[in-house]
Amino acid sequence: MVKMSDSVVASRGKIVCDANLCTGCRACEVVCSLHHEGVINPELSRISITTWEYEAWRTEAYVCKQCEAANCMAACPTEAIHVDAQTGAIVIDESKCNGCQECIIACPSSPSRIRYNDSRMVCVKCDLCGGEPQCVISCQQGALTYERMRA
Amino acid sequence: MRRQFGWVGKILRIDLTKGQVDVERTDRYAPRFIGGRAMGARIYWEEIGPEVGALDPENKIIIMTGPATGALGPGVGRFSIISKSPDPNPNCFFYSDPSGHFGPELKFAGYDGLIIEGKASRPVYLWINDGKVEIVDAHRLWGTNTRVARTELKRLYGNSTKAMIIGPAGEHLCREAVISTDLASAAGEGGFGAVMGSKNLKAIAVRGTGSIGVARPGEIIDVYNRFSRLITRKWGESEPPNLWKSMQHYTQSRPVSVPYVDDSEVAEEVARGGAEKRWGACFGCPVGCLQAHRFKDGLSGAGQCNEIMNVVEDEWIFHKGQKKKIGKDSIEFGILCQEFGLSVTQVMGHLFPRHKLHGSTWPRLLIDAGLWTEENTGLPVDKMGSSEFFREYMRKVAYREGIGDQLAEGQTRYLKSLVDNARTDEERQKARDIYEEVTQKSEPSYSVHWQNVPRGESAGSPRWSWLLSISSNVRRENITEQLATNNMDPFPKGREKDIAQLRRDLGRDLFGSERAFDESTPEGKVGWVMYMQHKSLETDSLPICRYALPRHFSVYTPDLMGDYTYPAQLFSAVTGIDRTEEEMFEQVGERGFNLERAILTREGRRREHDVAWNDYYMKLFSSWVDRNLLNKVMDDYYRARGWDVKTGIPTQDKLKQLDLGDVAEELKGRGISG
Repeated sequence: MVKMSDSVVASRGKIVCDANLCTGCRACEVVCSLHHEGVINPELSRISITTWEYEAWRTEAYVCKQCEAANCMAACPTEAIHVDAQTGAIVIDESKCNGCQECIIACPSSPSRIRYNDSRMVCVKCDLCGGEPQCVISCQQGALTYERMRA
Repeated sequence: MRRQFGWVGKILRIDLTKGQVDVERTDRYAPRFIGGRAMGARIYWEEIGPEVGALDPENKIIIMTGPATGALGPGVGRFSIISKSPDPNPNCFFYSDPSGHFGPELKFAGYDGLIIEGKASRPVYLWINDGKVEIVDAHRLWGTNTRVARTELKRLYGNSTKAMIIGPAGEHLCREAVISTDLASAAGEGGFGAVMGSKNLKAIAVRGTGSIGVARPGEIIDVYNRFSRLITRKWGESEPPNLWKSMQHYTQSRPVSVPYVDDSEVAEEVARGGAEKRWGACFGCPVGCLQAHRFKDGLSGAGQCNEIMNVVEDEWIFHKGQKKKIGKDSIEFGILCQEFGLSVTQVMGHLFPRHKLHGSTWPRLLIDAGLWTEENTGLPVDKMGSSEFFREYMRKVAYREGIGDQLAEGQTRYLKSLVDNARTDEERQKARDIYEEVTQKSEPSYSVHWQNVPRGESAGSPRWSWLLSISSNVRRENITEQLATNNMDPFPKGREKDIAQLRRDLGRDLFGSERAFDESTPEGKVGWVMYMQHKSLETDSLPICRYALPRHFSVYTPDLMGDYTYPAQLFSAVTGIDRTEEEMFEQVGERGFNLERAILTREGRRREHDVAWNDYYMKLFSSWVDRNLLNKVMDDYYRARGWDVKTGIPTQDKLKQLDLGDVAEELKGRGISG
């Protein structure tokens, strides 16, 4: 377990989804992959929507919960995963990432909220877009919101 | 060669006879034909000759996405299916543009399109997964409905798998069979389910994890965010969201204000906990007009407005629902059509009168004339319009049981067979009267979809624009009405004068006539109809949604103006090829429309076949349609198009001007045009 000292900023927020409003359009996945990877590819999106069509279109959104004590950070052998000083989000410094994918296994959520980009050979995760999450802005249903945790 | 953005670059050719798979390059057709409908028409022109029958192994199913498929915007889940249709008489070129999540998944798997040819010797399905293609034995799926087949494919390949599937109706070559795409959508027009069935192809399952390269990623997001603000608002904003979202109220404990849905029996059922209901969307779409239901007894499915909400008791109620309650029956109707793989619109058109003005549907006329009895049909004829009736009707048609064997041939062929096979002169006369009332008196009959379903505010009101529109192509352009209105969203109250002025201005700017949107006059209609036909080709070729576009107006701007250039903005941002809306129109709109006309011409269609549906339809409007005047307007239309006024054949000059020289040459070589 990583010891969190007081000097480390807590995450100011996380992205949450109101499943009652989500239509499963996956615009968030497209926006995320465009913004971070410059291509359209839901597999590289940091947020992922799954729809069960025959269960009256039930949807579920999978996105990083920005854990207080993050297992992924503890598991990272190269210290690529760190707390962003501005947003408090847990982010990956891709220049330090060696692509070992330990963080993907360490993530307590299922499916893992961290994904592997096999063309760039780095792990990728939600970084809250520097405090202005693009998926939240583009969610035309208003299902996604940036929930602030601390004042 | 320069890297192409937007297209993933490959088209799969699958020969089911030989069990062989080949890969071809998309840039053979792109960017000249963009994608979707126009590109499909080009491939059709090159590969499907006039001698091919729709259910022959020589017919092909062309499935084509476009550069917008998988991007962001209304209906970017769309793709086109182009094939020869078994429904019209004679069989002819047809297209259908379903939506959902299949098209983007195909691109993620690495392919812009599929060309399926030949015929498998036994039932098979296709499994396409990240550049790998398998033709798989389907004997365990053959005979199942679309829900069972889809559930099995998802169980096998994972929940994210998308599939196009035919139901029993397609397997039994019912001429009104659809290809169900993604549960809530279908390729409904043209009876393509039967084409798939004729090839022994049950399903096409796709899963992909690849990328679509785009030219300007940030711009795509900007265009999307900007355009979405013209068509809707998010929940919780001070302005109400669009019409569709307003209807979402009734399951989601939001403030209820729409009587239409508030009144529904289904809403009460949901409140009692006997059913679940949610709204869904096609890929990347901010509108979200799908509705999904699951009842405690297991009835479960989804559909768009047509499929789910229209049928109540014995008539269509869309937008008039305050009077009647939407019950479970109406939900069941749509779901059963999906499961059997039948066209909702066609079956609805057969069984439920759209307006009282139409009088009766043909089954009702047959029952009243004593030609349909419980004994000779096996249908509960005294319960016409009830769920008991439509369940039985659909099952018989889909499996070609008893009377269903004839019914599956479609209404025109069925009614003709009643005349031909009548046992007495009296029966023959009655059957002929009905045949002549509801179908075209003379063949060929090209229009199939919406055949007996004139639309509009009231069936009695004059509609010059779509008289012209339906006369000149295989399908009426849905968006004909939408340009003059504001798609699905009502304008704010109290601004009627502004809106009337805006429509006059738009008519003047676009078509040189302030009365272009005044349906009581033929003035300005030629320009309007040509505009909409080009617009439909542009949207279907990108492809994006025809229901949500174009947006000349918006209810969310102070001056009520929208932005009709969205397709060009999206195309430019995705592909990096900068085009203005006008260029798109000229290059894909007019070129594509003339290409389609050339195909129809090659298949024998001439001006004499360009008739507004049928006499039944014309009879309704005889009070206002002067046939001579209509003929004169049609003359103007052919002249404006650059087609021969007498024959309706595109002239050599016109085709060459549109960079379709080889098309012109072939028509000349066949002795069709000089």
